Amino acid sequence: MSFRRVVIALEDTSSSTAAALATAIGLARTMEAELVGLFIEDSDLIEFAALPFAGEIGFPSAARRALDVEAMERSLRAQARRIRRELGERLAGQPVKWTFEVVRGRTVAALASAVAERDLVVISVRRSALRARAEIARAFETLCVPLLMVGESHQRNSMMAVIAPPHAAVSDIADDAVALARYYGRSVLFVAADAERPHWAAWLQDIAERLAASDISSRFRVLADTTRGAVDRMLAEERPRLVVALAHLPQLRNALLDALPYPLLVLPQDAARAQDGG
Amino acid sequence: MWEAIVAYGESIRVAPLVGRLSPDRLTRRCAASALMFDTTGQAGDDVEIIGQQRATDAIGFGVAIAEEGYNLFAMGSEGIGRRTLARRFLDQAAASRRVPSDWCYLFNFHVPHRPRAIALAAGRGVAFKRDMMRLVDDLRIGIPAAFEADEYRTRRQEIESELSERQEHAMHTLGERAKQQNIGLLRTPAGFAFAPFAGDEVMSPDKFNALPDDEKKRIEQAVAVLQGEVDLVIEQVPKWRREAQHKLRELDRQVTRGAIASLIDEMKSAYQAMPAIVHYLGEVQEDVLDHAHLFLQPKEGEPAGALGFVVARPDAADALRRYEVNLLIDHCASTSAPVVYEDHPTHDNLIGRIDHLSHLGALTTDFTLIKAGALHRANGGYLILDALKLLTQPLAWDALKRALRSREVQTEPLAQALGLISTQSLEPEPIPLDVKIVLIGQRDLYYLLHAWDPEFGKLFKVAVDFEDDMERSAESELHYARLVAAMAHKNGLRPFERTAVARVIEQASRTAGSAERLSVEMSQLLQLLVESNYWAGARNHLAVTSDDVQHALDARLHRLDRVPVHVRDEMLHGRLLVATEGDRVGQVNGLSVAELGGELFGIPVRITARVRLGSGSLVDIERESQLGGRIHSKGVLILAGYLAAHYAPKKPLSLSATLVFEQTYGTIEGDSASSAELYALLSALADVPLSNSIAITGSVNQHGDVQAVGAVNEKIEGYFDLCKQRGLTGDQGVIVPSANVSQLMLRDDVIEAVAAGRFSVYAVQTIDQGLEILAAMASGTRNELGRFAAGTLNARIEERLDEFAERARAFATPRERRPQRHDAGRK
Repeated sequence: MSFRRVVIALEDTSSSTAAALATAIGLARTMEAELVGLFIEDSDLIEFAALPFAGEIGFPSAARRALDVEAMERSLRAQARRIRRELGERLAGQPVKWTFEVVRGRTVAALASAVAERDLVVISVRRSALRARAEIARAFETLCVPLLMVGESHQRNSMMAVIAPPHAAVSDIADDAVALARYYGRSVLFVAADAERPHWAAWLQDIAERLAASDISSRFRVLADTTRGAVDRMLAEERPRLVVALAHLPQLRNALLDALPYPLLVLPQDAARAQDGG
Repeated sequence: MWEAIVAYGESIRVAPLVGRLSPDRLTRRCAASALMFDTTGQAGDDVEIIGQQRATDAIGFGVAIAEEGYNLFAMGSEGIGRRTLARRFLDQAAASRRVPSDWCYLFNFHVPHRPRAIALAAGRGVAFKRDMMRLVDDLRIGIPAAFEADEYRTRRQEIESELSERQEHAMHTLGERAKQQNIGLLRTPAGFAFAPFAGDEVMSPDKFNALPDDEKKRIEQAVAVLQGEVDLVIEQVPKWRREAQHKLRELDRQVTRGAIASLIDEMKSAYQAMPAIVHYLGEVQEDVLDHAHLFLQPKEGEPAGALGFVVARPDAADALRRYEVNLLIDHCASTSAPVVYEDHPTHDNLIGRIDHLSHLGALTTDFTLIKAGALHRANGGYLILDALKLLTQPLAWDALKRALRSREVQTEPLAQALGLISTQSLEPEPIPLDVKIVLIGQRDLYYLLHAWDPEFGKLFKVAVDFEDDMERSAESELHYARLVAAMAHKNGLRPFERTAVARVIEQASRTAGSAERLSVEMSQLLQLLVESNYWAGARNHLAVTSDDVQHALDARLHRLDRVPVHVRDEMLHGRLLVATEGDRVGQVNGLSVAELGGELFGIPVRITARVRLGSGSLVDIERESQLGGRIHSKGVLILAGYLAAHYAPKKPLSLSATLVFEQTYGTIEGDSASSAELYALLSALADVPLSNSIAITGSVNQHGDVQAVGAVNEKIEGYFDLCKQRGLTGDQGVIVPSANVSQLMLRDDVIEAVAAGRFSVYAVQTIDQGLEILAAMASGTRNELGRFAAGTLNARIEERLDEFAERARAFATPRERRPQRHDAGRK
């Protein structure tokens, strides 16, 4: 896998956004990709500001103020400027080509309009926004765009886990792993999920052979049970820095989406071509 | 030993030490044969100080007595050996005293601007400082390790997540409740808002406006209610945050306590004999619990700020300075109590100073920048100070007295003491003071301080008065010789031949200004020995000879006599008028002395007098022109008293006289020329010429007694040098007071000239004796009728004064005369 751009949605300056940005910068630098900072002016907010009783409660001041469209747009522009300035300062001196874009729309649609082929989208997610996370993940599956969801920073082992069904294309899986592992610690755990299917041992063997020539170390594991509980136990045991999942195992994907706060990279179905057509 | 003066007329008076002095009266030789060694290499060298018994007794007493206020003031001339003697006694006393405590300043965790002073057993300070450094090093490893453990991270995340979840949950719950009313919770750039939803989207204004009024009203009311509930949630947030912070703090303390407890307990047990240190370590422990973050270094990628900016934290190394030990006084290498000499006793050098560091243009300080002063270093021992240096340094004297009075050293910046700065600085805890001070200064200074500083007498109760000279005897000469030997040995000089030592002793007498005394000025003696040694080396002598000593003396004089030689040249060329032959009425040669570079030079000066009818006033032209000092003026005024009592006891002194030092353009001080002035005056009165071959020195009192003066040797030699250059005639000489004869230590060339009859030194006791030498005629004494013998000098003077009185009477108006007669009649 070779990403042309790493697109990060910058909503605010919270710690979760900062963690996502650190990840996006690291990936862009490792993969020599362009970093695109994307600020979305939420059209719902503009619509809301046009309502006659529109008002805002400041946080954490609890100060109230009436809003209109002009005030909301001014506020969004100010936020965009602030984020752009801080992004520039954060990237100063780093060998990363970057741009900053402002788009307007609903979050998913706006993101979708901004991404292109061979883009990786990075978003930050809050623990409470599980449903939104799932919605976004589904939306990007539809768009066939890889989506990396990052929560707040946590201490984990210096390795990544790739969870895939044994019918996924070995070449894509191995190439993806090598590309990402250069940033995530040069150590990969390959997990053969849905291992009731035949040939999983041969599948893992193929991957091992493909990685033999690289500088990446690898381990292998089988995850027969892809329910939420089994996934949680496996992650608690391995504590990977990144979980890579293929989108065409809905049960596994949903279990992983629930298993926050692990950063999750969901690869769309067309990027995970079935080896056996299954 | 002496020659009687020639008698004139009926008046013949002979007295001991009066008249022309024989050569053997002009100096006192030191018998080299009595020194009992060939060179100083064979003599003992155990003598360091001589002739200072009074000072030795005093300093022994002062050092030994331990009561408060018994500090010492060693007074005397420069170079007399005050510091050497004091040092010797103090070193002896210090050797028998225990080594005092080490002192250190520590951070005061309760009052940071008041660093804590703690005493440790001598030599333990270094170990304590090292132990604290190690402790901090260990903490810098142990604390980060504890904070990097999974346990801590997990518990911290739990607390942070709890706060986050609490906020999110509250808002989420609110959002869910709103959703039941088709109202959505939106995040705006600055907070939250509630909007009516139509499906999954915010209701557009058109749709909203199309709603029935009741529905619009319902929505607005529902939004208002929800906003009120948001207020309630937001009100809780600070409280939740405080709770989370408290939990985090407690977590940090727990983790830190676990990491440091064993380290600090171990150190406490090592210092359990020192309660102050144990107490301090307890405070360190508490402080570390609250400041564990100081031991943590920011890690790469640590998301401490917006978009991953690491918030700049104070430099950890600087922050950890609070746990350092400022070892102010370290006695680990000491074997006895300290004896400190502070050569530059400024305020700060005495009581210590507080340095500052420049940081981004601002000056900052802390307890590690407190520096010890001389009082700290000498605490528990002795401190030697130069009084003059001390008194000329701003506030140094006050600071010393304050320390002695309060018996503690309080380090305070000078600018703060002067009130020049008002910014908050440090106020270190004072350190208890137990020190004995030895001030070294001039005698004048001691008496001035005693007279003008009421505290001085209470704080410096022991006066150590050093002699400038000592009695000269055969025994003291031997002592002196041993002193010379000791100094030569101690300073690595060549051995001195005994004749050289004898010459040194003779010079010591000359320096003392008396043939019967020996100077005990050690610095001058050492200078002579060093210079003699140099010349001996320059001449390839293995031992210093008397010639080397003499050459050193001559060379030193030569280095300094440019001015006297120039003045003499002016006399030789006739630009300065000083006759050394012939005679003249109302004109004599006086002898002045000038001090140049520590050496005295005698310089002859012409003194003239003119008289006329007047009202009894003596006009001293030097005083009138403000060139005469007060003592000089006093000497001239005494002359009037002598004239009136000696020649006009029953008549008005109808005289007006002027006296002047010719061709002098600087201030004249002293009364040593008052006899010369009187001779000039009497010559003018008698109209009798006096010899200009003879110069005069000596003061006079109202009875006509000639009194001793200073620098008599230099004065004689100054005149001799002038005469010698013009050619000695045999008539030339000097009249000196007979009281000065015992002080004569003249140069060999002068003595040789006297022995050859080419120069004379006369000693006189009275003015009459001097007059007879100068005028070569009898002065005359009063007979039984109260009249001077006819033809004598005094008779001629009296006749002149009678003449003035008669003429004055003739000039007087009848009105002026009547009251005089009336007054006389009444008497």
